[in-house]
Amino acid sequence: MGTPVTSGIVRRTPSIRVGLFLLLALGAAALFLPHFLPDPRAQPDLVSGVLLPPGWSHPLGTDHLSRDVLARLVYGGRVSLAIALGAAVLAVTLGAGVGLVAGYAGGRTDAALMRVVDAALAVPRLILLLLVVALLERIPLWGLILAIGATGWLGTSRLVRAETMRLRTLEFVRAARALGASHARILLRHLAPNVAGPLVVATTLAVGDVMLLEAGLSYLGLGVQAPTPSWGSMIFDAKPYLVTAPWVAVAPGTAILLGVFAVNLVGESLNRRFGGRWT
Amino acid sequence: MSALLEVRDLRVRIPLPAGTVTPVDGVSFSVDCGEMLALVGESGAGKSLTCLALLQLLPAAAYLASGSTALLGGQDILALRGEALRATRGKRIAIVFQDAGASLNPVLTAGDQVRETVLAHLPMTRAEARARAVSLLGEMGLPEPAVQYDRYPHQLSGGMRQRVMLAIALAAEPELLIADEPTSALDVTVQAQILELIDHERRTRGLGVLLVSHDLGVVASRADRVAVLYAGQIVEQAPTRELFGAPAHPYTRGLLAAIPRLRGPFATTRPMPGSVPDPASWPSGCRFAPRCPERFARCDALPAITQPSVNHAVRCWLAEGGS
Amino acid sequence: MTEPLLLVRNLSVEYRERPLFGHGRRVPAVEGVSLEIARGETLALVGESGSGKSSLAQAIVRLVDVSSGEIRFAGEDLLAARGENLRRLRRGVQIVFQDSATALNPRMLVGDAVAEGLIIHDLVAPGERAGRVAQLLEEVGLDQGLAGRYPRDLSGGQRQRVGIARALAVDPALLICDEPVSALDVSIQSQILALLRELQQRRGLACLFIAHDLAVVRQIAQRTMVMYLGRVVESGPTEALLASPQHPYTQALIASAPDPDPSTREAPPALRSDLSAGRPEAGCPFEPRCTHPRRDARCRTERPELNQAGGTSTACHYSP
Repeated sequence: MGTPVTSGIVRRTPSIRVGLFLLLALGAAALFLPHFLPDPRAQPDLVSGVLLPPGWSHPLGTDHLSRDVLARLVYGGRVSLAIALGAAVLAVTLGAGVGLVAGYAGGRTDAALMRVVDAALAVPRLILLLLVVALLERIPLWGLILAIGATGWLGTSRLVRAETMRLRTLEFVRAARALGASHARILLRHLAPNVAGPLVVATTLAVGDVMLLEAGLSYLGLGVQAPTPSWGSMIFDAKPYLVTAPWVAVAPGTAILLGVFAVNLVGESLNRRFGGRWT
Repeated sequence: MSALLEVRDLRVRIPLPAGTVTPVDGVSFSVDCGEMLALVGESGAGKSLTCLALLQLLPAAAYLASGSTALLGGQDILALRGEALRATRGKRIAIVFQDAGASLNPVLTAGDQVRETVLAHLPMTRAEARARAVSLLGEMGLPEPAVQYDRYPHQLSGGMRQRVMLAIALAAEPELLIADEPTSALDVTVQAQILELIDHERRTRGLGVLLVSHDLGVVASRADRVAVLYAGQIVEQAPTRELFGAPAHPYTRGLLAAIPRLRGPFATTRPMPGSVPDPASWPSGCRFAPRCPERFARCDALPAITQPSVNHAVRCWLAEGGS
Repeated sequence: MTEPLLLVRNLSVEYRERPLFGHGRRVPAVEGVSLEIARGETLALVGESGSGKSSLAQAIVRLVDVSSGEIRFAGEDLLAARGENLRRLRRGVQIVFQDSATALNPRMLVGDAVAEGLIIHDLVAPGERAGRVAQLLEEVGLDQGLAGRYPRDLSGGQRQRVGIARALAVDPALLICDEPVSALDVSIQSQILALLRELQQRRGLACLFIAHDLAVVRQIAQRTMVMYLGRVVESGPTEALLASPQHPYTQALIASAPDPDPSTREAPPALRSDLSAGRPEAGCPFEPRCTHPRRDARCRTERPELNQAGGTSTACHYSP
């Protein structure tokens, strides 16, 4: 038959296990560790507690304002992960929505929608984001999520559209129409569940993407604003001290690496396992 | 005439998480020069795996169990490796699959694909090989073969593609042709012509043909002998007339009763209950017993092959005269 | 005289390519086909690839657009129906597809697939749905436990039965079967045919049975229509058609059909080419392949109409 079996896949694919484990570890750390850590905004000792190397009282040292790096890392993790997840889900949902409609409707609707996508794709995403973010001086967290999400749905929409167009011709969709199913029912009950496969992969890869994007923006000083920590902004703050106190940058850098790696591991493994074919 | 191909005790095993299965379990048959043996069975019986096994084209996880032999002109082709194997495939044994559309390279022209096969196995210059390819295409019934040579597979109809596949298969003048459901995907009017082509080659070149099919109608009109495969084993083997006229195995009888007939007086077909069992759940005794209308106590043990008459072999306790 | 359950008159179906700008080419799939099916009757549509039989079936269920012609179902104009009216009429005509990996939604449980019609048309209360599904599964010879499985766990024959149950859920009067047994092994094929015959008798179902195998058709249809390149070339009671076919194409079909009887080794019919020479613009669509002794220029220019002769209607200038 050739229909891939999704049940038990976590059990059977080691790379997914590793990736998920890492993600869960990061997530758990982000949620629970703050209890045990000092306030990330606290600047207890600006005289002699600045840029302390990792030691007993500060496992990852302190930054230039004597703030505990580990605490900032964990709090920053919450922020970075929230943005990553939020924006990724937003982007994929938008993309799936547009893709489903375009792929199902076909004809001029599809053609029009795709020309919009083509035009939007011509503008580099980073530039677009920079514009948006720079224009609005102080941008709240949800605004950032919105901006990143709203600029990232284009690729997904094409993916979903292609898959929808393929599915649309299959007999079970025709059977549903013959039974009298409304367009909404066909889209939601028949088409959407069958594009879910590629979407899961797209989402995991998008999360990784967004993490890097947010880190980049914050590094440029345009993303998450002080005093809220995020992994990217921590690197931004650590720029002047890269040589003298490298741990301040290495910690968030490593965290980003692990996060993106974990997410990509899951996504790539799923992709490879199913070879792009989910029905 | 000694047998061209003699297969003895062919066994294919596939390790699965739940345990190893043996979808081809001790298959033995032979094909003479100029003879067509039909391997008949329903889906899941193991016909295609048998064909692939002969050419060592099994999927990665599957392997041949020791003791499996296939002698082609006296030489065990299952023991071949590397260069010797490559030289045998295409040159001595050729295979044609069901869907030519999937088997042909979409980015090469039809003619080039034939020519490549010729060049791979026969000592010729490119120009000579091209000429031979053109003449082969013509022999396969393609009109204006020089023109068709430059066509791509997607520009050809299903019937034409199958003819190209045949041309590729016959290009190096093999001794044995394995045809795995060569006409199942084709219209019936085209089907008859392709089968006639294969038959013609058999008659004129002495080509031995192993025809795999689930269509007993195709088999009846073309094959010299028939072997019926069920659940990985051959349950009956006989010359065509004898198999159709006096089938000894209950499965064969059931199959024949289930075929709708176009000619002759009308009769409603009698369906056989159940379906071919999955290799993972084969019963320990006779594998057909659960569906057999004539099963009795002895069927709890796997029957051996007996020969109720010359050339006719059956795997059934009933054939031993017991009942 | 009571009106037939299904009445199709002069139906034409065209496929048209639709680029963003301008019009595309038009490809005729069905041209000027008429047919009638009475309640409880089975009509078979036979043809090879390109004959248009599937397009015709899909047009009748309004899955594709019709370019011209009329379809009347139970006395109502099926083509003019819209919205609620169309939905109501849809219940009357259902379609069963050839078994494939995609006839059933791979992400939908078997029970949900069968229940879909019940849900869409609100035919039973939610609490009673499971019971009704169990009934339907039993009616098609399946174990009720299969309702909780996915299609990939089922065999080809079982999936086909599910497809039939899905169609029966809305109590149709006409069942269109598009090559329902072509992909099945012979023993399973026989089982499904027996099931269809049984359902016909028990429910008084009319059936439009589409196939390329005449022997299969003989098992189930009282009348048969042969199609070639979108047109009807011969039509009549099945036994009469098979016993003395009039149209050269029908004769070729019968002669080509492999016979599971080794004593009849006939040569295949001489057809002038199997290569689709494209559809002729004018004249008889079969002319490029026809080997009738009286074939002439008239066959190339003038399209033959269906003429009644004896038991069957034939579209040929010189046959009978």
